[in-house]
Amino acid sequence: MSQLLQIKNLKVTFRSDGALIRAVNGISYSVDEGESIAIVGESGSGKSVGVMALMGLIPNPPGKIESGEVFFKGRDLLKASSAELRAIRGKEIAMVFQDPMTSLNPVLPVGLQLTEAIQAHMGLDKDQARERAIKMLALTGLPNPEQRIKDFPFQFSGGQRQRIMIAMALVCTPDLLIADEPTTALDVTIQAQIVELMRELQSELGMAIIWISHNLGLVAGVVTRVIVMYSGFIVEQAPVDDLYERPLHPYTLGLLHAVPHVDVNSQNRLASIEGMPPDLRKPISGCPFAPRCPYRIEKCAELPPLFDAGDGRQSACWRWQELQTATTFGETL
Amino acid sequence: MLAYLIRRILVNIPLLIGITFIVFMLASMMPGDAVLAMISTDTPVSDEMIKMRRGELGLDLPLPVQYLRWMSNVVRGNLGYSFVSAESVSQMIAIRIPATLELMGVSLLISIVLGVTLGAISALKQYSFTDYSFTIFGFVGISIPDFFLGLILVFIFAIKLGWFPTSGFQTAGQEFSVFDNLRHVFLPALALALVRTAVFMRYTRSSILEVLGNDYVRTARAKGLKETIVIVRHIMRNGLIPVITIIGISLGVLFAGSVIIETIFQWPGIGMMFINAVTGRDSPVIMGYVLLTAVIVLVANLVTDIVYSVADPRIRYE
Repeated sequence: MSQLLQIKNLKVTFRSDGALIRAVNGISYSVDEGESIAIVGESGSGKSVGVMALMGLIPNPPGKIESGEVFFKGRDLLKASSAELRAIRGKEIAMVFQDPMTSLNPVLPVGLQLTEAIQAHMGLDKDQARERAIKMLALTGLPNPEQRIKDFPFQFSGGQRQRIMIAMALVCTPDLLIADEPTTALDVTIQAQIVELMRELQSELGMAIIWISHNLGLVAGVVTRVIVMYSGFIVEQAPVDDLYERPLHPYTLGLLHAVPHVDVNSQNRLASIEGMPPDLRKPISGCPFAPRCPYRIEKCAELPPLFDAGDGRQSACWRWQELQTATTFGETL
Repeated sequence: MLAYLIRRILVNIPLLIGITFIVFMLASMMPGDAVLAMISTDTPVSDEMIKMRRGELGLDLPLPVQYLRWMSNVVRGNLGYSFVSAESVSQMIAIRIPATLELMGVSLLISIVLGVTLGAISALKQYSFTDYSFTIFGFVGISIPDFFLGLILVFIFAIKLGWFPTSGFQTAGQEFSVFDNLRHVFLPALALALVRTAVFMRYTRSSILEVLGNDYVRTARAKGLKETIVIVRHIMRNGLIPVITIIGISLGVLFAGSVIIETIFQWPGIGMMFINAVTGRDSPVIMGYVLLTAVIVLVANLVTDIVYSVADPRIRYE
């Protein structure tokens, strides 16, 4: 499969009250055509900012893309003019946002919000655009789309609105869909429906998907590869099954322990990672996770590179080899 | 919608009665009355005469009775007759209201167009030099009383530069022409517009700034829409909804504010009529004016609500 998106050494900063916040600290990854990957991490890890940057959606000021290259189908998006970016946004790269309650314009009928995207990119007239919008809404399982296209966002439920957002993103059949925590604002039962819907649509339309999530359990079933981010760095990257079976970074291990399991007899408290993520206003010299890491050694005062661990795996831990060979994970370290 | 409208109109009726009653009482508390105002100190008039005249005008009746007499006439569509000129009050208003509405209309147009445009530019270029300049302009605009600004405008543009006439409705002795009339209305309308321009500008700015941070603006950009569509359809469309309310509220203030400006610019509108009525203690004219003002304010509020519900579907469907 050929490469669709390649990000090299992307750095994004924000200026806030005079302080420089290093939101993304030189991340590199790639996405193949039709592939679906997940970027996981806690709030403030830079997972959203990283993808907003490639869409050209970082407000400047206060945001600034310091360096890096973002190749999409061979073109560097960071060097593209705003008109070129606009032609790509919505057409070739589309986005589904976290909160469907606030991401739709409250005073415009949903139909218009779909057709305006179609008309911006596909050169269809009003009726054709309307037809396409209805078709797309039907595809996302919204009941009765011919009538409901005239309705306003507040007349839909949360799950329905997210279906509309998905229809809106896919209406020009993009090659890459970025789903920025698309289920976070929804009920658990609806979450599963939306995940299932996106999986179906992917097999039908064949686009690549980047799932941004803080929920490792949710993305486990839908992606082939996972990138773990921590305070603006990629700390681990691995095929999804390998990552769950044997994480090669203590932070990933901590995240996996923090996924709640259904166990009636369990009296244990939900595991959490001790401490707080580092203050991004201060430059980070060593391993960003070191202050919270139970396996910290002296070497960790130095920033670890992203080691290639073979089998398509990468880890930014000085002790990744020990983690790989340890028989009972964690305890032997 | 229709039921809502009828209910709103009915609610306004007791409000109108209350407003007119209070103003009637206040007007009667002014020292002197219409008869005393008519008397010149040079020619002495006997107390008999004064008493007789008061009796003719009904001023000797108890106040509530006077009010009820006035009210019962109003209900029958009769606003009464001027104590001074014996003209029909509705006739007096009908003759003068077009000039006032013209002044208000032109002034409102100036302030909406200028205020909303400047406010929008200010918000879209937040913290820029332009933004700061507009903000300072807004501050100055809100701080200058309109009659003072009117005098400055006359001094600069009429007396020094001679671009516009100093006062009046049209050039005396000339046949009426729209262009000539517009030249006359420009300065008073501008003087009247400045405060509201500043107010609309500040509201538009803050309202649009609020909209800018919304998720749906990001969604619109993510769809690859042209920036003009993002600004007009997604930012302005939402940002201007609260501004509708401010414009509606300002209509009453504008009507009242035109009183002073009309006097300064000798504009033959209803404001000048009102000033003359107050000095002459001409209570039928005063009450006619007050009733008209109250109706205008209440209608403006009603229209604002209707426009608001058209602009915002969330209100419409409730």
